[in-house]
Amino acid sequence: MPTTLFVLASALTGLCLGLILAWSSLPATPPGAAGVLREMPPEDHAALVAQAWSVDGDRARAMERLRAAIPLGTDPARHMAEMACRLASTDFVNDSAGLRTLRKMQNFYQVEGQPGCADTLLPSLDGAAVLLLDSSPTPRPSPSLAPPPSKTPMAILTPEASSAATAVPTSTETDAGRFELAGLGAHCDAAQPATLEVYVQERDGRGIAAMALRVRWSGGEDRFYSGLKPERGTGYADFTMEPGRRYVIDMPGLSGVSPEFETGDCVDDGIQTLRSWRALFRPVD
Amino acid sequence: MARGSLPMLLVGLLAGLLIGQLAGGGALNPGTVDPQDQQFRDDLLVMIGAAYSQDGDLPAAWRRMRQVVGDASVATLQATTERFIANSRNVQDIRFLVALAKGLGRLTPAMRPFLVPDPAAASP
Repeated sequence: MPTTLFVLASALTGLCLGLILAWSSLPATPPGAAGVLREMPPEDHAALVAQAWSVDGDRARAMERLRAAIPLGTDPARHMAEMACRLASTDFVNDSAGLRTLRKMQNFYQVEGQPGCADTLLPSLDGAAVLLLDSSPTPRPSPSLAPPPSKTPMAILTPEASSAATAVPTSTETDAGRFELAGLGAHCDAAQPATLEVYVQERDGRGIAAMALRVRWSGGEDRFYSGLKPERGTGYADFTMEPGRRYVIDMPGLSGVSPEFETGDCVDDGIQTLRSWRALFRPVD
Repeated sequence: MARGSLPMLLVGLLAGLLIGQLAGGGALNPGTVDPQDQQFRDDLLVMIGAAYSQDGDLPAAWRRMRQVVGDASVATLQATTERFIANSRNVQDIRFLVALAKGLGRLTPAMRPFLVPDPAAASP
């Protein structure tokens, strides 16, 4: 008799375990989304929903679209905030299109009163802006790559850019006479190692061309201008840094001097490279 | 442990898995296609079309389409768009899909009435 009970108890235990295993493997998302979203990361899906919402303006539909792809009972706005937070910590923000999409995601969840970490990762500008964040791991002491120092190439200039580049920047070129360093942050990009990217922007995010920039280091300095790479934006300029040097940047006569910064080893998607920096200047209120 | 307990445990386990699978609507068989899946893919294509009609970023649209419908992206887009037209679905959605189909060179006569006029082309 005890043996029979033991066997039955075993069968019952097995049945329970089997049910638990089977049901725990049910998709957390609604069935329609489960198969499709295996290929599309949830961050991409949320970004797509925000983009579509910005086009059709149908908030209820956007909510439904999110609900169709997230675990039942999850707040769509909260999900959007989490996805924006994830994307804001990646290379997604390295181009203006990604940044614009993030702004749409941010708008989406902010309307619902939902906070998100993207709010602190993105500078609080009204328009397009540059993201300043440190996504690089802790630098190691021995740099292994040494790109040659260079500044923004001056060779390819449109007539407008050329005349702008030779103009002496004055306080009349922008609404405000003085600028401030609105942000300075490091990132790791194997495609663009040891690069200082500088953005000079109006407070609404529009780039300002032909603004003089100065990078200084112990025993040297270099001057260059914003807007000489129009494909990167009218307020953009860059400068290649050398490992082992500590730099400061300013807009001579128009801004204060930045804190010191330097390049160093970092790893981008498994590739060892050199840390880059972004600086943002904008007019003082 | 009594003799026979282990086999019965295994039998129970298998039975539980089977019942769980049946009750879960084939959740352990992700290859199952259902209408909800189709509807979800359709809506993703509409969203991709909407994003493309705004930013004109064809590589991004192409990458997303491949995530959604795989290698047969363009053919699926064409079929979906024509199905939307045939079923008189939301005109705005059709326009998004048609804009994307045009961008990918798959504009068909059925789609032409839904093309949004290009303001740049209309200006002298």
